[in-house]
Amino acid sequence: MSKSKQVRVCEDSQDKRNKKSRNSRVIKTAVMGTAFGLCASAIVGLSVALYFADKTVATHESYQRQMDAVYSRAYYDLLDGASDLGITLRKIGVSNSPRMQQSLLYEVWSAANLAESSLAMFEGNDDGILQAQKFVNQLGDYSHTLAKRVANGESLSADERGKLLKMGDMADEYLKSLQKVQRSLDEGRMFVGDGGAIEGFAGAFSQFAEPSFAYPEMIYDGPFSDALENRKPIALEGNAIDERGGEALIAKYLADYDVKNVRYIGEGNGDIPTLNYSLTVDGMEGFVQISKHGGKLVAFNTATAYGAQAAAVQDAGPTCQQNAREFARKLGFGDMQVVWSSSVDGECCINLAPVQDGVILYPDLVKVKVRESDSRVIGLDAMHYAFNHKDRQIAAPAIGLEQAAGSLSIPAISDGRLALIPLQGTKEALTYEFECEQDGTYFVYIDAMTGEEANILYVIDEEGTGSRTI
Amino acid sequence: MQMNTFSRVRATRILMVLLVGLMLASIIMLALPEGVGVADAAVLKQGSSGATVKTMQTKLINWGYLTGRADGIFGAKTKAAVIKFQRNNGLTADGVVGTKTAQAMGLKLSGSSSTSSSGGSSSSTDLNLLARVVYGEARGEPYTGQVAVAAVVLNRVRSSSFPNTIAGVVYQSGAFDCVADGQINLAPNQSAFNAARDALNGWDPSYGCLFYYNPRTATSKWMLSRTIKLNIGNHAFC
Repeated sequence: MSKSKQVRVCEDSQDKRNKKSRNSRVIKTAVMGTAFGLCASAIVGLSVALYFADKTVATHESYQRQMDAVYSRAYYDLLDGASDLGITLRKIGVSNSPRMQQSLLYEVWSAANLAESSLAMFEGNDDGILQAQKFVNQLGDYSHTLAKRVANGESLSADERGKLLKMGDMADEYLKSLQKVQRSLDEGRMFVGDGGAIEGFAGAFSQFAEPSFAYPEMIYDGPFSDALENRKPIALEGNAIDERGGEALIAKYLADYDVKNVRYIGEGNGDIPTLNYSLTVDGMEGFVQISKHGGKLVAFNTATAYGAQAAAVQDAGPTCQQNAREFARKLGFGDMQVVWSSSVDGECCINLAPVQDGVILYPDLVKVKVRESDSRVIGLDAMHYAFNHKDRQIAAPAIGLEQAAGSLSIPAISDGRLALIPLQGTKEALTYEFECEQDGTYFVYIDAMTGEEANILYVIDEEGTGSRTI
Repeated sequence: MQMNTFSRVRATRILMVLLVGLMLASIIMLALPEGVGVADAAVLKQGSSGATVKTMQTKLINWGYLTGRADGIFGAKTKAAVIKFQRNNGLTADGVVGTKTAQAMGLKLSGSSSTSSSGGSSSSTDLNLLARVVYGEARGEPYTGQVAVAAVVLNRVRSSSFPNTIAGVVYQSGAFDCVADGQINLAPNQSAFNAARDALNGWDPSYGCLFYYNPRTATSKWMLSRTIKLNIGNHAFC
């Protein structure tokens, strides 16, 4: 019994061992299989990830090289344009032939234009580069102005020759700045990427921002003349008003409106010093700027068509224009004449100009926005008026209306009237204005002193922006 | 013993087959032709697929909301990106691209012809570009603050220290955040268009300012050193 039992136990344990080893083999197989499977899927996953990562890196590098090419091109264009600039400017300074002067001036103008657009490719948030850009812009603008004058038979003054020589010196400095960047490129650096040459680009012009850098004052008749910076609002004189005074004026100026929540939000110390207020006008979000001196309403605006696209209203024009004139008169701008009106998205934008001795004063425009649905004034801007309006000494025209009309090359559809128009810079000219028609509408301005064309504007009718002149 | 070897071989084989199957499945999934599936509907949500989804994904990738590639399938990752976009743009963050979200993305949904884009009325590229800068930089600001941002762009065009075209000023390297983060490509709303138009017509609440920044978020020392001329909403103009 005990023996057989023993045998059975023995057999039992043998059987168990067999079973055990079989079980362990199955487990082993499963474990190994799983491990193998995991390894295999890891390899597949990694390969897929690597494939895409590789592709991303390749794409990234390709973009980087493309950007590098764009910057390199801009840089070499700059270098190319700058190389002869100083010499050309000195040549103009010593030349005595108007024809030579003119051709060299146009050469400078064209080189400066190219430099301007290439320089604009690089970051502008640096005082040095801002000044370098100013130099390039004024150089082109000044050369162009002088070239036109030489073409008109005028000769260069000693002062102008002096300025050109001085700009020649600056052109040398400008070239030196560009060459600083060349050094880092010669070391094999790229423009973009880690430690790229682009990081030191703006810094290369740092001497342009130094207070000691001799920069000639550029006052001339061009759009970038220094005379246009730091302009004074000559129409705004009088005692300074305070926060409370401004509020009282708003109540007076906007007496016809439902004005609520008037809140003083601080002074504006831009070119026109103002007291600024936010408010609600007839339920709309509004903003008013009262001039600090003289307490004139220089700007009023509302967020009126917010979210709504109003349809154009038929025949709203005359009432809108009437209300615009009335509003300007109440604000103390005097009796002004409508000189332009355009309509878009249910709003009418009307330009008003003062009239002195029968002459329309275009430099002194006041712009009024009127909602067409009820002809209500919803905005006014008097910036041009503030900067330019004064009592002018207007000389009598040297030529008559008929003579001026005779010099038109296309048929006029208006009788012609005297108008003072702004020219480049701060100059103004007395002209005869004619509305003409030939495949479109033109406004032609004939100089009332010389009989020459002073300006031509063309009317563009555009859906969305309304009609405008260029 | 033989039996065990056989079963191991069989187990390995089964595993191999399973693995190959898995690999094949993943390859098929990766290579699945794009645009197969649900036709474009008036609303895009998780589960949608097609060309419009792909366009939307490309936009989200460009603006940094989504990483990877545009596969045209609106999955969980795309939904998360849409929610992020909606949150950043003041829209209901539900991950569903309806009329408003699509409009904000500048996306045309088929079957929703009633949504006339507010920007569609303009054919002037200057106005359009300016409105996009206003929307990308100053939506959420008071209306006058939006006009002022547009005026700063125009003041730069007139200034000798900056490029001489609107595009030159807008795309100058490092000039505007909305260009760097891609928000300039969002479709502007009516307010942005009106503000841009007012600035083009001459309104300039800043009276000649060339810079602006948000004092709470600005970090540039160079910018912070400038004299502030006025404040409108969250922006300091100088």
